[in-house]
Amino acid sequence: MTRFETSACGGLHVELFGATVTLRGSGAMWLEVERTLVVADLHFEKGSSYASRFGQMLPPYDTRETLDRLDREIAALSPARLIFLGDSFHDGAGEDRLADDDAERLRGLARGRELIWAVGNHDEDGPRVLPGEVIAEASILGLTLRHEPEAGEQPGEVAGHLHPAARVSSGRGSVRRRCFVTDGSRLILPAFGAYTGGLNVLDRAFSGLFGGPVLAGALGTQKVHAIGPRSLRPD
Amino acid sequence: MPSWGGSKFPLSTYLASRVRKMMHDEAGWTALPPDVQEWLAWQKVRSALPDEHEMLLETFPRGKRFHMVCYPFDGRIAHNTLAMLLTRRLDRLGVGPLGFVCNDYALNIWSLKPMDDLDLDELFDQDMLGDDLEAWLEESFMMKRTFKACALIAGLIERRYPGEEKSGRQVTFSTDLIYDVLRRHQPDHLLLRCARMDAASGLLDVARLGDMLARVKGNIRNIRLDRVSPFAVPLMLEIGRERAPGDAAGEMILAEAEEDLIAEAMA
Repeated sequence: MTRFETSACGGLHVELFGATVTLRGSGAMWLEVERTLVVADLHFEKGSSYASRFGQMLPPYDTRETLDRLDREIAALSPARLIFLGDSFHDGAGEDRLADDDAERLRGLARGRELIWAVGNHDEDGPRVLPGEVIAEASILGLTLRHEPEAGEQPGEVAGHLHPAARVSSGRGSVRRRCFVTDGSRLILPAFGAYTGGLNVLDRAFSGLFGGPVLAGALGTQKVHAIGPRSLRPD
Repeated sequence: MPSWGGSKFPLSTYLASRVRKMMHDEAGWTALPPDVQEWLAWQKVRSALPDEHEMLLETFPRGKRFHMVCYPFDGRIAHNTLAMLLTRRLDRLGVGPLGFVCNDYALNIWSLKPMDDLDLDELFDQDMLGDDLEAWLEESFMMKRTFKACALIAGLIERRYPGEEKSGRQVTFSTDLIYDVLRRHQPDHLLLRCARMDAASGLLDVARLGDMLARVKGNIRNIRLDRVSPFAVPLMLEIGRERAPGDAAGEMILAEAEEDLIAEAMA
């Protein structure tokens, strides 16, 4: 069973492949010893992507909403390194559609800290103009950080891509929340972006990824709740 | 605003008062159909019949939940308004309200924890009307549904039907996400204004609720039961259940699941 402990800030300290990581209530992962904040699936400019591709005029405030969430994490933790774990933009042209003030805020994120863009399937090339280093994967504290989880068991992998969500039912009521999911060997982060949906962790997309029993870290309003497989329900 | 809902109709204030009087006046029951007489008689045995000036409030467990049913006879919309305000107060009291349902005669709220020992005079105090009803309504599922209806009419989203092929445009997009983002970044957006206007006319009746709270003040008859009462049966079958807004119940469900996991680990 994965070792876990609730931290003072409401996050969940988890032993992951020999490293201690903090799963934050925001959906970000914090590596204290490296002062590194990792967020997955920001999907910046998803709203404007729908407008330009389908003519669906979604309110174009998702990027600044996601940036607001990021700002709160940065104010709380002052990370020395910020890693975007892929699908940071909803599409390759998203960077060009950024509002000027949002673009300035994104540039600001790279000031005084290392900004790293791991590429994802939605943004295969990474940003062209914005500052920061574009990579395929990173290796920190023995962990491998990449966007898309690779097939089979991958000890030490931290990925996003799947947008995990947990449905928890007590027989008296049920609740569905974005969640982290881990077996102590690998970890999948929830999507951080404002316009991102969630996929139930019992979906077959997750099967075969985990060797041991899974622990879901469901995002509550005050804390991250550690949920075992017996409490998880399909949608 | 009264609307015809098949067999249901909102009671006028006068009619509501007469219905309460008829229920309490046993001598006059003979004028009622036999099955209604029987129903009233069983209600008297199992619970109580309120007098003309009282509001009956029953609390009982059912399944794994706890219910509070009260019978103001003030119409669905006033009951809806009351239920929203009560669930907010119950959420703050940590009772974990899960949902509610209203008809024209009564309302039923169910929760994770028992509601037997609440201070009812405080709970139903008229200062409730000073609570931020609008802020609460904005968080509610009813409001999100109203917004969804507006978004559909505006063409912002398209309705999808079961089994329908997904075209490029018809990517499902949660209106809840749109609603939350709009509320924070463009609170005066036309669609939000439309949704608020729809809700104000279709979901709320603050004036009648005010009269009702004044009437029941000090006149709440609380009956604690170990099971559902005859009067409460129609509410158990009522359609149109609403999830209670608020986070407390969801957090409690998650906290219970976490306790289960810890207990499993320690076993």
